[in-house]
Amino acid sequence: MTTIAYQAPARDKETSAVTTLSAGAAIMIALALPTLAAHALDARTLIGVSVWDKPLKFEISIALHLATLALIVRMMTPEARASRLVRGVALTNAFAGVGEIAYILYQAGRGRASHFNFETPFEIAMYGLMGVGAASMVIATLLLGLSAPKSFALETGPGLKLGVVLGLTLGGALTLVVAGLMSSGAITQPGHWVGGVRSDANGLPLVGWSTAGGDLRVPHFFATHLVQALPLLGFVADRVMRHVSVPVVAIGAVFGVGVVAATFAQAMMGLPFLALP
Amino acid sequence: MEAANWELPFGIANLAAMIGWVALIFLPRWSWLLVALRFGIISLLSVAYATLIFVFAAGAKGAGFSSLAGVAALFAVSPLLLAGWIHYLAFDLFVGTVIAEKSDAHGLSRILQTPILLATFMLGPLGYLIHIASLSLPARRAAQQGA
Repeated sequence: MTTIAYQAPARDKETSAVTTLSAGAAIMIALALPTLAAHALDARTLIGVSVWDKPLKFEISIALHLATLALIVRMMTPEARASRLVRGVALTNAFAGVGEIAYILYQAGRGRASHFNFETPFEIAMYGLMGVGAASMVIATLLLGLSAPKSFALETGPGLKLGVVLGLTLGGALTLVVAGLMSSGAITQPGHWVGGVRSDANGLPLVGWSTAGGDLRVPHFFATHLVQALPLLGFVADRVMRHVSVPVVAIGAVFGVGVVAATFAQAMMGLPFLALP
Repeated sequence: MEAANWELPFGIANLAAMIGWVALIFLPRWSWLLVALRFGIISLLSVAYATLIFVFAAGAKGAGFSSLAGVAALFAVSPLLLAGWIHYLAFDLFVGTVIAEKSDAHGLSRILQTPILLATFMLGPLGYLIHIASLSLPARRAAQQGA
């Protein structure tokens, strides 16, 4: 025994992806604590709401995403968990997620926008880098979905399997389309609002979506969280109606895609998701 | 906000750190003690630090890390001075838990750990220095004996 020399223990490939993803989710929750406190302490606003609204939403959303992927990878065979693909997907999602939130927090602290901010060369470059990070997360998630059918451990239920495959592939693909169109500026000016008041001040509680005009964050939200919704539906269906869990998930997937398409069309027409009086 | 508004949080942070140090120095090393300090008091101090930095760091005029004047400008803002103080409290206590852990593993008497931990509490790096010194010589001898 010696206290002078240090030898880093070898990492276990079979557990590495789950460790990476759970650590990422835990980091998001840890960051949400001071963000919540800052929300209470800080009077500064951006687009009509606290500057800390956005980091808080992203922390919760990314924590949910990384925790979901961690649960999914846990269901895979040891060989699949140890594979280069799964470890790469885990690292990409966790690292890009932490990177996104780091910049979002930095900008919130300065009281400045992180997305759609073209005011300085630094902010333009960082917005581009965030796009690369977000796209990497989404594509990695999609790849995990594509690889999932041959990766599941035997005891995984049929509804859950289908829910994971459809949730990750459809959620990934639809997010790529909606967020891609939203950030390209092809629809209106770059931004998520279509018509209406460009402010979150009278937005829906928690999410902040516009109640006066179209808001492309709505289809983005529903697309991105298919990654949770369909596996969860499959898990529940396997428990309560196992013999029909596969058709239930299939119908759920069609419904989910329908919601994304409908809210996308609604936003494009400049209509709010819900118009509050 | 004026300095007076920050006296109460300052006092609370000091009290929290003091409780942590008393526990570390005087309580038996129950298996959960260091974990409780790390997830409890040290994490709470860290949340307080991060909150102050989130809210106030960007507002400090002329502040920066690349010159002494920049650091002075940072500490001229009361909540950032408080953040700097909480930084000491949190990190010193964390280092204290690591020193306690290493000293226990090394078989160092709790009596001799007390001045090392007290020095770490009051004078951070000086405590570290005597801690690392306390480990080095016996470790070398143990290594020579093939232990």
